[in-house]
Amino acid sequence: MKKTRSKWSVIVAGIIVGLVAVVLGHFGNPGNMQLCIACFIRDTTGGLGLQTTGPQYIRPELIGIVLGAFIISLIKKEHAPKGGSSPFTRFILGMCVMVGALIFLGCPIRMILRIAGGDLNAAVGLIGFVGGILTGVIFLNKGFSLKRSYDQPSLEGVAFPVVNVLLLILLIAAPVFIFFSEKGPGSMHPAIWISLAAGLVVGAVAQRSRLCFVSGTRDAVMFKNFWMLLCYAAILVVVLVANLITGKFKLGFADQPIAHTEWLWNILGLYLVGFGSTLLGGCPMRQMILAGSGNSDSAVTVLGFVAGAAVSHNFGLASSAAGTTPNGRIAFVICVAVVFIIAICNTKKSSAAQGVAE
Amino acid sequence: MKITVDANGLSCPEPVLKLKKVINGAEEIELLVDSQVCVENCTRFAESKGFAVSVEGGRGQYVMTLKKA
Repeated sequence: MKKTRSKWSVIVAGIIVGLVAVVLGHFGNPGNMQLCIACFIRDTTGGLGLQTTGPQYIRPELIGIVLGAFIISLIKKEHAPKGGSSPFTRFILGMCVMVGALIFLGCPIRMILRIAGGDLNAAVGLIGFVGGILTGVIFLNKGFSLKRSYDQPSLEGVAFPVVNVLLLILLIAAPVFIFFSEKGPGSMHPAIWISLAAGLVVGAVAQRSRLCFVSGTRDAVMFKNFWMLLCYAAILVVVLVANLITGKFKLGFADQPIAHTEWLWNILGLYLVGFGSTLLGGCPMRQMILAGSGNSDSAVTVLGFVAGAAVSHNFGLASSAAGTTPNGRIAFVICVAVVFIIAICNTKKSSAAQGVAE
Repeated sequence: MKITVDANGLSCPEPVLKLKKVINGAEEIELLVDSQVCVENCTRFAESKGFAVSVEGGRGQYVMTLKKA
């Protein structure tokens, strides 16, 4: 049995994900939003009519990511139906993470893609993201845990991929109750099959490489393991080079695609994303991969992202190119307080004896 | 003396944290985990601490044996 994987596999994964992002951007995804889990969940939420003020389009990339992870986990015999580790707490954390992401306007992968496009607002936001992860690490070191997950029936492990197949059918069939943006970011996308194929590749690669935009910083701090940071660097370099070649690189703060210049809120939004994701054990992309691999706790977390996206747009919390909103700033304070309460309530000073010889 | 650590059902990075708490001074550790990802993470950490790692089991049930090299 293979016990570890090589550094190169992580770097190659980063290169592939970077190339896929470049392809998606070339074929129509919005600027510096070639691939973004938070934005695409928001779009899908809109496509289903669960939010009515933001972009609306069922993003095939997400369906591909889930199905790619599902298929490869079956092939590699890693698909395992698991769940029961504080599911409702994870749902709430998922909501909070999405509120933070939509204040910043992007999840961690879009943060990297925005930096690769020269968007310095994202570079500033990175400070908050790392700060959030470090806050989460403090609680992990003090014994934070959402407790154990347990074996679940087979249906529990395949339900989420099946739902994604149904979403694909709805997208292709396009019945009247499914929404499609006619202008703005929701209207900008490649052909369905290109997005789906891209998602399948990313899903498979991310499942094999364990790609996670939180674990790199977390493990570097906690275990002096810097591997995953190489993956981020690979994505950044590939997309940066492509942007320089195609003339899309534009260094600065102002007039960046789908971004605002409120530096404090870019930091705070990503702080919430980093903190919440660390408590969840992985970034939004990782949650999608785990959900595809049979983890129903992650599937519930994704539903939390959907609920977060719905309230963010329906209640006017989400930022736009014009900046943050008063409701969004209040929601941030509430969400940070909620995440701290969850962190404190689930942290128990553990002794070395705990878990030993149980 | 062999120490047994049950990290079944715990998500990353908790299994590695449990291991970290007992690894100093230990000669042999039996670590129970339930995912290949945990096997990889714990193996990397144990090897960095000078332990030889062997793994038995598969699909949701792994028994890792860590011996001080």
